[in-house]
Amino acid sequence: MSATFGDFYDAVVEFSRLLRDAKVPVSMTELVDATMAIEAISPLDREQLRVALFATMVKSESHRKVFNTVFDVFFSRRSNFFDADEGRGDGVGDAVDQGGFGDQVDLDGLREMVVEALKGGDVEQLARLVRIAVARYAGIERGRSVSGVYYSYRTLKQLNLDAIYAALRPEDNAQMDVVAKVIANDKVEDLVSRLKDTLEDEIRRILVEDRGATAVVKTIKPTLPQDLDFISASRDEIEKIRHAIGPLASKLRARISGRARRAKRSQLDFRKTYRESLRYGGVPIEMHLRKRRPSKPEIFIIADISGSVASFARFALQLVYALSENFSKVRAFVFIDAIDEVTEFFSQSSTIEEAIRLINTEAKVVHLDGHTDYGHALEQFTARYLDDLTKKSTILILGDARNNYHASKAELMAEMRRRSRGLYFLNPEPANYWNSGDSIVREYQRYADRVVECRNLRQLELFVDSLT
Amino acid sequence: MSISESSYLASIDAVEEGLRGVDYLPSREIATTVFLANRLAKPILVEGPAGTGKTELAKAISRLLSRELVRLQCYEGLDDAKAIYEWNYSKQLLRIQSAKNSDDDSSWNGVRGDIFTAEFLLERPLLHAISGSDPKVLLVDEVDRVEVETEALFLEVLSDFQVTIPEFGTIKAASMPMVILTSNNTRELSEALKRRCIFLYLGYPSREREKDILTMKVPGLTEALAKEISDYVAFLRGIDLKKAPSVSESIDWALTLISLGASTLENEMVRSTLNVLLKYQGDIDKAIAKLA
Ligand SMILES: Nc1ncnc2c1ncn2[C@@H]1O[C@H](COP(=O)(O)OP(=O)(O)OP(=O)(O)O)[C@@H](O)[C@H]1O
Ligand SMILES: [Mg+2]
Repeated sequence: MSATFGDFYDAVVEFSRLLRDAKVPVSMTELVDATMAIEAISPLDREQLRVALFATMVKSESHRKVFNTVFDVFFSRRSNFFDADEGRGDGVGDAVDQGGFGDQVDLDGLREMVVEALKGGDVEQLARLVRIAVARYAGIERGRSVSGVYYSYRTLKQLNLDAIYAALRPEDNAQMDVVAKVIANDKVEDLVSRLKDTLEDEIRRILVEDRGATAVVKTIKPTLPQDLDFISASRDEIEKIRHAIGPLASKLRARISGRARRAKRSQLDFRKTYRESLRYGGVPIEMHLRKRRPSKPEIFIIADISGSVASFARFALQLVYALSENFSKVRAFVFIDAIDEVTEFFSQSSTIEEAIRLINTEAKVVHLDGHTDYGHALEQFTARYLDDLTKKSTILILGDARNNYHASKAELMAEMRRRSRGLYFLNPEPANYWNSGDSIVREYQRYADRVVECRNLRQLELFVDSLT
Repeated sequence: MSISESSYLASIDAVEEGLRGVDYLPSREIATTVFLANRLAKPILVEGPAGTGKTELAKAISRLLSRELVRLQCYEGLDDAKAIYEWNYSKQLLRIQSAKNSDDDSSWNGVRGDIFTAEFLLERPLLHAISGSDPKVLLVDEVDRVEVETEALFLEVLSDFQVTIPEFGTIKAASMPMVILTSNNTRELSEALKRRCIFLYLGYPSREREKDILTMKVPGLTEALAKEISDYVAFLRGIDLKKAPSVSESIDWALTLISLGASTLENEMVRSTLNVLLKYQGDIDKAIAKLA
């Protein structure tokens, strides 16, 4: 079936409505321009259509991401405009799942093939493999109103992002010039972004098929940096979040010191005032104000830095260190399946960037296979640092509590909590995914003062604010 | 529009080919937008970081169509006398003087009508761009530099291709210019201006396109070195710098490397020439730290 101009005209009107729903303003003039534009181009060419609509309806680069998502959803390959001319119809994927290698290949094999497709730039093969991965690991629940980012996250978790990174990185070669190495590593980041994009495309396709374009557009992610999800953020979004942390820290500092000033000013020392008043027959002649000096907490921050939650750890560390003058001391520990103290890295480095770089290259966080093991990390922490904890210590544990079915060793946390002033578990996963699969939030919840959902800067800010 | 012009703008492919032919490497998006601007007879608002080829695009279009390029460089304080037209006072004065000298009473009335005619008008870029029978390319460069109120000056020309002069009336375009406005996005432009334009964002080019731009612009540059340069520059744009290197800076860097006889990027050479690519010492230090 091929679409007529009238179909496109109606579609563009509907599309503009969806853009407005997604907070991209489109004026009447712009809508008219858009309809004229599609008359001038070949709208069956998706990329031409995309540019024509963007150029006429959107007047700010900051709306591009939302525009692209709405476009992809609305003019998805499933919709009646494009199904004839795209090489990625249903046939391919189904054949792969049934008759092809889909059944035989195991997780490791699939990962290897994904890596090969990425390296070779084989877009179609990549799409096929991602399709299998999503079918197997995303656990998509039909009819559920979510944006799909967690399906992507879950799939990546299973594919094991760390292992993919490792396989993509060029082999260490002493001969290679450092510039060439830098370039090669940067390309790895690009390839991983491509994988994430392909995953999101596939998941979006399924969601649109399940619920229709209009419903899916309603779940499109917000774009303010403080609302971006840590664990599903793209490379660009991670940059945005990073830039938002500095201003956020200054805001928090101002708020904290304001609070401290007010507290100092207004605390009435009731006991002392009362005691003194007894000398004057119970008349409070003199008011005594308490010099309240709330003791600053000492922070122990223990962060899971494995692939999928690494950026969360990074942002939390960045924020806590930016506020370090509000704490009497900050000590930092990172782990994957082994733990290492990295406090030194922060004191040695002039910038947080530098410290993070040191953590990534120097910290000894892998013991066996590089699969996150909270139990082993807790064991090592207890053995080495338990005696350093005092009633002034506040412990923050950062991670998704996905333990790859290792032993939780939660009882060790009980002792850590007993010796300290408070213990909080900050989890970047949305709360409705806790305790599913290998997530063992429940076991740690018993010993933590609170398990706090920290998906974005907004939630992280609220929590950090409550600490001081 | 002449026959050759219309053939250059006949299709997206033609625009793409044509721009290439005048030494500008467009992305598909650029070619499509230029094509649409012509078909919709709308100005293009080109936004993006410094040195990504915004101004050059307007120049390339004028080369492609063999049209005169009329450039209005914006700055704070720009007014209509500099942007649109001005009365030629000295010439008007001379005319009045000569009328007085003739001692003829009736001539004063004639002079009043006389001195506010086209003859006494000084064309500034916006007016010049629509007058004359040969169509032009109008570049309004760095429009974000004028105050938001001043944008109003451009609106009539941009949407109606005409200029109204109170003493004189409305001058309609004798020929339709192709209009390009550029902005470095230092402030939000008014909705009124944006509505009248179609939008093109010129970000940093893809590695592939930058490599091609380099080989085109830098004689003697090998494909292999061009690739390394574009890869390394792409890497630098991804780290947190105060000012990321632009296309013009990567061109300059390539020229420097060639003059030093480099055939491949290597540590020492890169370190000692980073100052061509990066303008802040802090950025240079950061880049060097990454080479540790
Ligand atoms: N696509 C391209 N093809 C050929 N040359 C290009 C291209 N893009 C950029 N250049 C080159 O990059 C240089 C910078 O371009 P230009 O001066 O147009 O940048 P700009 O975006 O106007 O910058 P600014 O915002 O600083 O005015 C020019 O010398 C131009 O030759
Ligand atoms: Mg310029």
